[in-house]
Amino acid sequence: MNRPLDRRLGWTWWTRNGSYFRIFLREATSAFILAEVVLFMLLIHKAGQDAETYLAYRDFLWHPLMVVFHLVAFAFALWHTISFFLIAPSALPSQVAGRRIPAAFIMGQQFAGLAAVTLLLFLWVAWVGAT
Amino acid sequence: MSDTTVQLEVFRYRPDNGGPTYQSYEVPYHDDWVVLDALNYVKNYIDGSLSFRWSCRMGVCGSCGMQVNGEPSLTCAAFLRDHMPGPIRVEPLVNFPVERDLVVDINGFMEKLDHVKPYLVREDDDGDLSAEYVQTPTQLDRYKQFSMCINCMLCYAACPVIGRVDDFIGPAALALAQRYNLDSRDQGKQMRQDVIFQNEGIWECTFVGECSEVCPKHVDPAGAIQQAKLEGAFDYYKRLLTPWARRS
Repeated sequence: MNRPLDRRLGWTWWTRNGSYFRIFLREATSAFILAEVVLFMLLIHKAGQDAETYLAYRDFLWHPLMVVFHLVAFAFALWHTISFFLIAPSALPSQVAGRRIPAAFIMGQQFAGLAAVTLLLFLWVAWVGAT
Repeated sequence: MSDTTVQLEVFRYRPDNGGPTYQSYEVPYHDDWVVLDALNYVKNYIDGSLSFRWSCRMGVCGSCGMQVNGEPSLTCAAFLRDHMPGPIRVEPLVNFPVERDLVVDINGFMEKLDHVKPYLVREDDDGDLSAEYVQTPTQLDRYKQFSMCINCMLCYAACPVIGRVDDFIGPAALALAQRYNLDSRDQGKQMRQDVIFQNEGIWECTFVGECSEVCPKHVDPAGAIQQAKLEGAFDYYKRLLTPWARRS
C-alpha cells in the first residue's frame, strides 16, 4: 500500500528559522500598534470627562512602565514601517507609462514622505506648545 | 579520488517499510561538486535503492529541488563547499506528500498550475499555428521576470501558507498567472481573474516573501502576487464606482 508521507510546515512554521521568526515578529508588531491606538482613543474619551479623570489617565500613560511600553511600540512601529517601505518596490508595477521605475526611487520617496510628515508634525507640536 | 569526505544525512522513506528515517553516507568531497553529484555518487556506488529526481544538472529543468540543511534548494546548484564541514542534511521538499525517499508527489501543484491557464489565450484562436503576435521590448519587459519560472516548486516548500491551506494556489502558479495577464499578446485575463481573485488565490498570501528569497531564477513570486492584489483592489473599486462601465 502506497502511503505518501505528510510533511507540511504546519502552525509552528515561524519557529523553523530566523527568517520566518523575523516575519512573524514583524506581523506581531501590529498588536502593539493596536494597543497604542486603544490607549489614544481612551485618552480622547478621558479628555471629554472632568479634569481629574483626564490628569489621572495622563499620569498613568507617563508611568515608567508605560513609557517603556511606548518606546517598545514605537520601535516596533518604526521597524514595521521600514520593512514595509523596503518591500514596496516589488509590490508595485515595475513600469509606469512604459518606463521602468527604479526600486531605489520608490523606497526613497517613501522615506522622504515619512521624514516630511514627521518634520511637519514636530513643527506643529512645537508651535502648539509655544502658543 | 579525493582524500576529504563529507557526510550526507539523507531522508529515507519507503512507504511499505515503516516511518521515515535518516541514513548517513560518507561521500568524497570535491570543491566543484554539488549536492546532486554527491547523491548520484551514493546512488551509483553506495546504495542503489535511494530515490530522487533529477535531469538537466544545470538549473533549467527544476527537477532536483530538495531541502538542503533545511533550505529549499536546487541540489544541482547547492555546492558542497557552501555546507562544509558538514554533515549535510538532504530532505524532500516540505509541504509536499513524500512518495519515497526524496521524491515528492507534485500532482497537487500540477492541478493548481492548470487552473491558472499558464499559456497564451487568444479569443481569435482559429488553430492557425503559424499566427504571429508581435510585441515591443517594453511590453516584454513588463512580464519577463515572471516568465523565468522553471516550476521547481522551491517557493511552495518555502511558503508557510501552503503548509496550512491546502487549496492555496501558491506562489509559482500565481506568478505565472500574473506573467500571462501582463503579456500584451494574451486575452485570457478575465478567465484567470476568476481563479486568482478567489479566497484561495492571491488573498491568502500574507507576503512572508520567502518564496522570492529561495527562487533560483529571481522570479519574485511574492512581488507578482502583491501586484495582482493591487490590480484586483483597483479593479474592485473601479467597478464599484462605475457600475455602468462594462467589465473588461
